[in-house]
Amino acid sequence: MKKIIFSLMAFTALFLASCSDVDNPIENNIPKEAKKLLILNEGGMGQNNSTLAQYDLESGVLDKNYFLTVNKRGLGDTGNDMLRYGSKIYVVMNVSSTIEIIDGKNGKSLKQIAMKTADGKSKQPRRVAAYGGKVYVTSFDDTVTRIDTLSLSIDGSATVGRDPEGICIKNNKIYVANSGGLDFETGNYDTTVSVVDIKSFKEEKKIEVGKNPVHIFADSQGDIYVATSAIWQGWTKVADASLKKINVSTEKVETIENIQPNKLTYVNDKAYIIIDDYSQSLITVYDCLNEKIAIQNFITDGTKIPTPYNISVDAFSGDVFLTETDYTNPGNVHCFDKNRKLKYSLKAVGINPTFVAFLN
Amino acid sequence: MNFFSIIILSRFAISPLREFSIRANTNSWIIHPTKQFIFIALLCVVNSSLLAQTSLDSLQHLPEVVITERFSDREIRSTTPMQILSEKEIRNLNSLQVSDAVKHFSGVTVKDFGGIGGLKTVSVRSLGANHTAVNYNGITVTDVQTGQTDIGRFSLENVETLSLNSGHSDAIFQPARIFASASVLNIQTIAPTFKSNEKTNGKISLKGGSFGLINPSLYSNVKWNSKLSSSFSGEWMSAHSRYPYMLQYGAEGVDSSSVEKRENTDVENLRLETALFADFSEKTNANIRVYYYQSERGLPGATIYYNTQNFSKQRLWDKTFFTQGHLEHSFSPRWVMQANAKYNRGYLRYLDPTYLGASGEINDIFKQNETYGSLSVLFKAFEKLSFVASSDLSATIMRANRDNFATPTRFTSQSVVAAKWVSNHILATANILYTQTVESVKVGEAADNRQKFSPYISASVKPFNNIDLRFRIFYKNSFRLPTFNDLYYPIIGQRNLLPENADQFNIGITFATVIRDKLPLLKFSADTYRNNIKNKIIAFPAGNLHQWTMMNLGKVKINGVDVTAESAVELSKKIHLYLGTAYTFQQAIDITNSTAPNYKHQIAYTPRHSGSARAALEMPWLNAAYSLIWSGIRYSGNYNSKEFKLNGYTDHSLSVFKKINTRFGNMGLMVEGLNLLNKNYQIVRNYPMPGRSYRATISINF
Repeated sequence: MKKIIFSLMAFTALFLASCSDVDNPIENNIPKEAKKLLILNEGGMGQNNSTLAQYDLESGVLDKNYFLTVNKRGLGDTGNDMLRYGSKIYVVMNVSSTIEIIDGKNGKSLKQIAMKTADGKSKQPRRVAAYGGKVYVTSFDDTVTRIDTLSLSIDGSATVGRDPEGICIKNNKIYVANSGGLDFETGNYDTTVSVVDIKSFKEEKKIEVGKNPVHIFADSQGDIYVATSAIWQGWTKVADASLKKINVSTEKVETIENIQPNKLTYVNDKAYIIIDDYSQSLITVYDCLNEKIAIQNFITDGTKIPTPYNISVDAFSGDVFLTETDYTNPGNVHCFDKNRKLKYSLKAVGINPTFVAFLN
Repeated sequence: MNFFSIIILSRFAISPLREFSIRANTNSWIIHPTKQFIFIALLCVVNSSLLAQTSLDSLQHLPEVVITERFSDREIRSTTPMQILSEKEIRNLNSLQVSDAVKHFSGVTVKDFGGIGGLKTVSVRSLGANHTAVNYNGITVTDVQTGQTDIGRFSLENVETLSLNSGHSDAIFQPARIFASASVLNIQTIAPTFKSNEKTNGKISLKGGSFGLINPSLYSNVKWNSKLSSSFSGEWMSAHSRYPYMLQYGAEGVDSSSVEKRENTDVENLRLETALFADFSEKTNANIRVYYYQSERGLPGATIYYNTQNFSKQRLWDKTFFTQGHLEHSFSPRWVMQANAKYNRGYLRYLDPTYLGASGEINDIFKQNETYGSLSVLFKAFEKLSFVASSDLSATIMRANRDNFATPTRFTSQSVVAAKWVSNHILATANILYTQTVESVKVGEAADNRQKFSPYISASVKPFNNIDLRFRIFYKNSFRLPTFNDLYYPIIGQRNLLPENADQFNIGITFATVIRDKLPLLKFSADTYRNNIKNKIIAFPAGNLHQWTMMNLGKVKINGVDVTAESAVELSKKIHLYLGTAYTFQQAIDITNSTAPNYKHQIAYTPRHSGSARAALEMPWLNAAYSLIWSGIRYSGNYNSKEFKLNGYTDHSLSVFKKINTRFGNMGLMVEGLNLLNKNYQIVRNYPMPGRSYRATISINF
C-alpha cells in the first residue's frame, strides 16, 4: 500500500515537475537554436485577416496561413502582440478581443480566452508579458489581466492608468506604460508608468514619465526603460519620441539623448530600436549595461527597408528580424545576422507583419 | 501608435460616411419603355402627356429633331451613355431604396454595407463615389464633409424616374453645377397630374416585410386652380434589420463557420416633402419644394471574428432640411431663362457610447449649411444650333462640436458656356466650365483656393436615314474638390490637397429596331471607355507609418465596356414580355507606383465582370417580375491575392403584382421574394448582405 502511495506521490511530483518545467521556463530560460519561426501578421482593422505564419528554417517551407491550416479557423482581427512562454504561444487579438493560447509544437489552439468587461464590452487587449507561471495582458479598459498558464483561465485583474500598452516584469513588480492614446484627439495623453505588485496584484504607485508612454522593458540590472511615442498634428510633429530610463529606487526619470524610438525590442541587455524618422530607416542598438548607444546604424550592407514596421531578435543566434509594410501589400520579413548583413528575406508573408517568435 | 491612426481612419470612415480606396460594384441594364408601350403603371397611372412637363430636360425647348416616330427614346439618341428607369420599371426591380434600383444600371458600382441602414454610395465607371453627383429634382445634393451621398436614404416611394448619365446629358439648359461631375444620378419625383375635372388624387400604401420592416406612406396632389397645384409626400420607415448570416472563419466549405445575427442594425426614417407648382402662362412656370428627412440608425460595424455579440453600440442621427425653387421664363422663342435656388441644412450626430477613452464615449456633431443660387440663359441662335450660359454661386459652412474645429466656409462659383447642334444625322454638344473656390476658416489655416477650367465635348452620328443606328463619342474632364474631411479632419486632414482629376473618353454604338408586331422593341447599346484618375486623394501612412494623412497620391487607369440589350415581346395581344440584360467589364488598375507589388492590380471592390438581367411578364390578371444582379470576383484590397478575394455572387428576386378595382380606387397588391437563393454574400468584406427575405405592399390610388 505504502508502495502504491509512494509511487502515486512520485508520479504526482513528476507530473507537477514536468508541468512547471514546461510552463515556468523563466527558471531555466536558456535560449536554444530556433528550428522554426512564427510570424504574427497584424492584418487590417475590421478585416479579420490577422494571420500566423510558420517558417521552417530547415526545410525552408513557409506556411503563410499556419494557424488557419491547423485550426480550420482564422486567428481573428488585429493581432497586436505575441509571446512564447514555455511550450505555449500567447497571441493578443486586439479587435477580436481574445487571447489565443497555442501549442508551440503543433500550432493547435489550446484555448481561446474572450477578453470582455463585466458589462460585456471588448477589453481590447494590447500587450503581454509572463512570469512565474502567469501571463499578464494589458487592455484598453485600463486593466492588466492575469492568466494562469496551467488552468488557461483568467485568475485576476488589476486597474492601472489609461490605455495601458507595454508591460514588463522585474523584481516582483509589474511595470505598465499608460499611454492614454485613446485621447489622441484632445492631446490628453497619460504620462505615467504604473507599478503593480505581483503578489497583491494591485497598483502600488504611478511614476511620471511624460506624454504617451508606449513601450517598456527592464534590463538585467533592474533599470526600467520606457519609450514615449511622437505626437503629430497632420504633418507637424508636436513632440518627438523619446527613450527614458527610470531608476526604480529613486523614481528618477532620465531621458537618453539622441534616441527617438518608434518600436523596439529588448534582448540580452540590448535594446534594438527602430528610430522614428520618416526620412530614413535606422535601427539603433542601445547597450543597457554600458548605458550608451552600441550601434548607431545596425544595417551595414546597404539594405534599404523604407518602411520598417517592427523588430524581433533571436536571443540564441542574435539574428535580427525586421518586418516591413506599406498597409496595402502583404509585408516582408527580413533577417539580418549578427554581423549586421541581410541573411534572407521572406516575401509577402502577411498584412502588416509584426512579431517573430522562435521555436526550438 | 499606428492603432490610433487606424481608429481615426475608421471613425473618419464611419462617422462622416466616407469612402477610402474602397469601391464596390454591381451593375446592370435597364428597360426604357417607349411611350407606345407604357401601359398602366403598376401602382399609379402616369399620363404620358404630362411626362414631358415634369421633366427638367430641356428637349422641349430645343430645336431637337424627332428622328423616329416609334421611339421617343433619349437613351438611344444620347451622345453619352444614359440610362433611365421609369416608375413602372422601378417597381419591377424589387427595390426599396434608390440604391437597390441603381444597382441595375450598367457601369455602376454600389458600395453597400448591407441592411436598410447600411451606407450605400455609387461610383460610376470606377471613378469613385466622389465623382458622382446626385440631383434631386434638378438640383445637386451636396455634402461638403464627405463629398458623397448616401443613396440608401432616398426612398423610391414618390420617384417618377431615375436616370444616370456618364459624362453629361445632351440637355444643356441646366445649372452650371450639373456640368461639374463625371457622372450624374438624377432622382425625379412625381409631379402632380390630373385627369379632367379631377381636383385631388394620390396614393396611400403600406409596406411590410422581413426583419421588422414597416413602411407606411402617403402622397397626394391638389389642383387649386388652372395655374396652381401642389403635392405632399410623407413616409415613415422602421426596421430592426437583425438578419441572420453565415460567418466564415476561413474558406467556405473547408474551414469553420457559424450562424450569426446582425446586431445594432435598427433604422427609423421620417420623410416629409411638399411642393407647389405654378404654371403662370405658356411662357412662365415655377415650383418650390420643401423637404425634411430625419433618420436614426445603429451602426453594426464589421463582423469581427469571435466578437460579434455586443460589438457595436454606435449610432448615427441624420437630419436634412432643404427648400429649393425653380423659375423658368421664355422671353421669346429664342431666349429662355431659368433661375434655381436652394437652402440646405444638414445635421449629423455620431455616438459611440462604448469608447474606452477617458470620457467613455465619442459624441460628434457636424452641421452643414449651404446657400445656392443659379441663373441660366438659353439662346436658340439657329434652327439647329443653340447656346447656354449658366452661372452658379454657393456658400457652404461646416460646424462641429469639437474644440478648435476649423469651421470652414467654401464659396464656389461655377460658370459654364455650352453649345448644342442638332440635325437629322448629327447631335453634338460642347461646353467649358470654370470653377473657382475661396475658402476661409475660423481656426487655423484655410485650404488653398482653386481655379480650374473643365472642357467637355460629345457627338453622335446617325449615318442612315432609315436605320436607328448611331455612333457616339465623348470626352470629359472633371475633378472633385477635396472634401472638408480631407482638408480639415483633425490630425489627418491636409490643407494643401489638390483637386482629384478625372478624364473620360467614350466611344459607343446604339441600335434600335422593330420586328413586326411580335417584337415591338429591340434595343442595343455598347460603349467602351478609358478613364484616368490623377491626384487621387487617398489616406496615406506617413511619418514612419504611424501617422496617416490625406495625400494626392493615387493614379488609376480604367478600361471598360458596357453592353445593354432589351426587347419587348408580344406573346399575345394582351400578354407582353419585357426582357433585358446588361454586362459590364471594368479593368481599373492602380498605376500609382511602378515598384509596388500591387502595380497594375485591380483596385479594391471592382469586379472585372458584372451584370444584371430582368424579365417582366404582364398579363391582364397578374404581373410578374424577375430581376437578377450578379458580380464576378472582386478583391477587398488593392493587392490582388486570394486572401483578399471576395467571391462573386448572384442575387435573384421575384415579385407578383395584382391590381384590383375597388370602390375606393385602384388597389395594388404586391409580394416580393428577395435574394431567393438565400446567397450569403458580401459587397463590402465583413458586411454581409441579407439572405432570403420577403416584402408585401398594399396600396390604393385615389
